[in-house]
Order: sequence, then structure tokens, then C-alpha cells
Amino acid sequence: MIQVNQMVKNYGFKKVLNGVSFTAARGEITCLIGINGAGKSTVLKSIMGLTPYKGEVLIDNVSLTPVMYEKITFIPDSLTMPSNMRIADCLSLMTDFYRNWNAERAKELLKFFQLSSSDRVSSLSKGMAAKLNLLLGLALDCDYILMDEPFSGIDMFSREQIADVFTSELIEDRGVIITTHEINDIEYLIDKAVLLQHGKVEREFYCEEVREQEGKSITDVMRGVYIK
Amino acid sequence: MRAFVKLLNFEMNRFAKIYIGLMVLTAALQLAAVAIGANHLLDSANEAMRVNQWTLEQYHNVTGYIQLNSTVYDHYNKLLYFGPIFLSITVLLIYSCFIWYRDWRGKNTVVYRLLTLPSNRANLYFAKLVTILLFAFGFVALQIVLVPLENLIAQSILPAELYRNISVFDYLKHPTVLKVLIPPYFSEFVLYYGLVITGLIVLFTAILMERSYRLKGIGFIVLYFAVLAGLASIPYLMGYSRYDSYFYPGEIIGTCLGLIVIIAGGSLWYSLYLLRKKISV
Repeated sequence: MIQVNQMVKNYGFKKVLNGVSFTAARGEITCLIGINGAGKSTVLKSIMGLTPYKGEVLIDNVSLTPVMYEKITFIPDSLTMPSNMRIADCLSLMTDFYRNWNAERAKELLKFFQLSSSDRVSSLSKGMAAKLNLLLGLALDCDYILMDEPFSGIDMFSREQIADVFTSELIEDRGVIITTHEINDIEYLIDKAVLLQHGKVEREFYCEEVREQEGKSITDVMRGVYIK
Repeated sequence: MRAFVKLLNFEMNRFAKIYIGLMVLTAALQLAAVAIGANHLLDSANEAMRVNQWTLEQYHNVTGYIQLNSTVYDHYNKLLYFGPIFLSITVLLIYSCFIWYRDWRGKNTVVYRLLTLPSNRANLYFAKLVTILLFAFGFVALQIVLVPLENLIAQSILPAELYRNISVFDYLKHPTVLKVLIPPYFSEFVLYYGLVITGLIVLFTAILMERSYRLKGIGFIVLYFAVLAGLASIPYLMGYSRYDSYFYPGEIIGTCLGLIVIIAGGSLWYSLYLLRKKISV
């Protein structure tokens, strides 16, 4: 389980996160929701040790160390490979650095996303780049995956393809934390929602419970929180 | 260690094309400079012999032997010969900054990948540092390799009665930028390259300060450089450039070396701390 306790983050004089706490368990898809500038991406970067913060992050009860980057991976909204490389080079770089790189799965994902290993990273469209990013994260045999806006700026068919991943065995048994604006695309795929507002967790709930007990969708809950 | 070697390979590949291009350009221009210079000297010799009705022997008695260094001292030749050296130094200096900033500022944010590799982040720092140093030493090695080739070119153009071969060691002893790049004495080599490595570590520290604290970091950099200037002034306060200094030269040199170790060691430690704890993407 990923536990975020009292996370505080300032950008200059602006307090972006002011004591954010939540948990994300393995086998569940947790969605961080918030308006622009709510600090969703900052939470993910902080969990990954990509920006300093105050507070505590525990991954299976242990603080982050470099070795744990084989246990948890981050899929940001921009490509993480140099643009002069070919996709095949990207895959071989992953093989070189990660002991838990699953080359067989990478091959399957290449086929599924209709990517060619001879393509240069610089020639990829935004949708293809998002798919490659997803491939690089999903082909790692890790326990937790953090995704930052995987649907941002990509076409409908690519979105559907990426959304398919969430119902596949690729995600099963893993803990996923995702941030997105396009909640409609994955509303029925996510298990838990964490609503951020004014640097704090406004509400944390299991979607199924809210649907059954309150008869509300995530969008309804969001309306209640963000449009008062 | 394995992660370091892989990262080093990764970093070197990213600049390899430009670097090889620069090496080829340097070699081509320098060899051309020697050929042009040798031809120019041959023309001058022919002209002098024609005007003064000298034989080759008489001309040689007046002017002495031509050596490799004479072929590159002509005004335009100097530019052609030494220009690529300064160009390469400038490119390497710029790349020393770019090697970090390209990971943040490029089309793709490669720094996400590099900082989340399952290895100590110190490997990334040392891979970048060693990449720049290897490029610098590779360039120095090229200069050494080129000397015999330049000798061959000059030899093929100038008559044997006029031209005398010069050893690589003697050629590099002439007071040019090459004497600084390839110091003839080991102690000088250690001192010069010790200063280069320290300078690179200081530059990396400044970049990591900016990448960690952004705007505030620029203020910290000014403070950091003020402290460095204070430390660097100690040898001068001890009378480094005075004959009547209270201190023995050995004591001053010892202080200099001590300061280099303190500055390099302190900056290195702080850089690694920033990379582990404070860096921000």
C-alpha cells in the first residue's frame, strides 16, 4: 500500500499541498481528481521523489529508496526517452537498467498499441507517444504504477485503447494512482477517488460505495465539491 | 558500477555525433592549415632563392630549418589551426551546462527516467562528469595523434634540405594553447586538470542549485561564488605573486592544493545531496 501522510509542498510563497493524506492499495485504481493547479501532478512527483516535500510517503511501510524504483514506476504526461532514439533503443535501455523488465510483455504491448520498434521517438504523434510511455511503465513487473494525465490531448481511439488497458490483466494485482481531467473515460474503471481542493483532500471515497449508497456518480460528487 | 557504466554509455551516445563531427572538423582544418602553411613557406623560399639567386643550401644557411610550428604561425593559418581548438573548448563548455539542462528542457523530459532509475543518483552525476572529461581527454589525444600526421604532410611538401622533423614532445612545448592543453610536466598536468575537474564540479553544483531551488537558487549561486572567491583569494593573501612573501612557495602551493581538494570535495558532496534530496522536476 502507498500511504501519503500530511504532504506539504510550497512553490515560492504559494502553498500547493497543505497536509494531503490518503492511501492507495494494491489491486485498486485510485484516481486523484482536482481542478487545474490543485497539485495532482505534484503529489505523484513527490511520491516518486522527483520534488522535495514535507510529510511522509510509505510504500509497503518503507520510505522510498532508489532500489524501490523497481517496485513503483511513474508514467508522466511527457515522453521520458531522448527524441533521437528509436523505440527499439528505448526498450533495450529499459532491459539494461531494470531487472524486472518484461521483454515478452513489451513485445505484446508493441503489437497491441500498433507501435513499430524501428520508429524514432521524435516521429511519434502525441497519441503514439502516450502509448509508448504507457508501454514503458506497464512492461515493468512492478507493484505500483503512477500515471499523470494519460489521456491528455490524444484522440478518441487512442483513449479507448489506453482505457482498455485498465480492464486488462496488465493492471490486475497492481496498485495504480492516476490523475486525469477526462474522468468520463475511466469513471467506471476506477475503484477509489481522492478529490483535492485548496491543497487538501476534500473527499476520499470508494466509487462503488458512493454509487450504491448515495446513488451518485463520480461526476456528481465532483459537482458537489467543486461547484458550490 | 554496472549502472554507472551503462549511464556513461548512454550519456556519451547522446553527444557522440556532434563530438565526432567536431573531431573530424578539427582534424581536417588543422591538417589543411599545415598543408597551406607548408606551401606558403615553400613559395617564400622559392621566391627568395629566385630574387637573391641563392641555391637551396644558401637559403638554408640564411633561414635555418623549417619546423612544423613555423607552418602554423602565419596569421590566417593560426586561425585555421587554433580556431578549431577554441571552438571545441567552447562547445565542450556549453555542453557542460547543456548536459543537465537538456534533460529538463528538451522536447521530452528525460530527467523523469534518469531520476527514477533503480540505482544511486550519484551514478548519474558521475556519468555526466566523466562524459565531459572523456570528451576533453579524447580531444587532447586527437591533438597528440595529429602531430605526426602534420609532420608527414609538411615533410611531403617541403624539400628534405629545408625541413626538419620535430618530436611530439618538443612541438607541444612551444608556447601555444597546446602547452596548456597538454602540459609537458606531470606536476603541471595534475594541477591544470585538477583545476579543470574542480571547475566542472563547481559548474555542476551551480546548475544543480538552480535546478533544485530555481529562482531562489540563483541567489544561492551568487552566495556560493562569493564563498569560492573568498577561498580562492587565500593564496594571494599569502603572497602567491610576491617575492617577499612571509610563506615558503611550498606552503603556498600546499595551500592551493588543499583549497582545490576542499572546494572540489565540498561541492561534490553538496551536489550529490541536492541530487538525492532537493532536485525538482
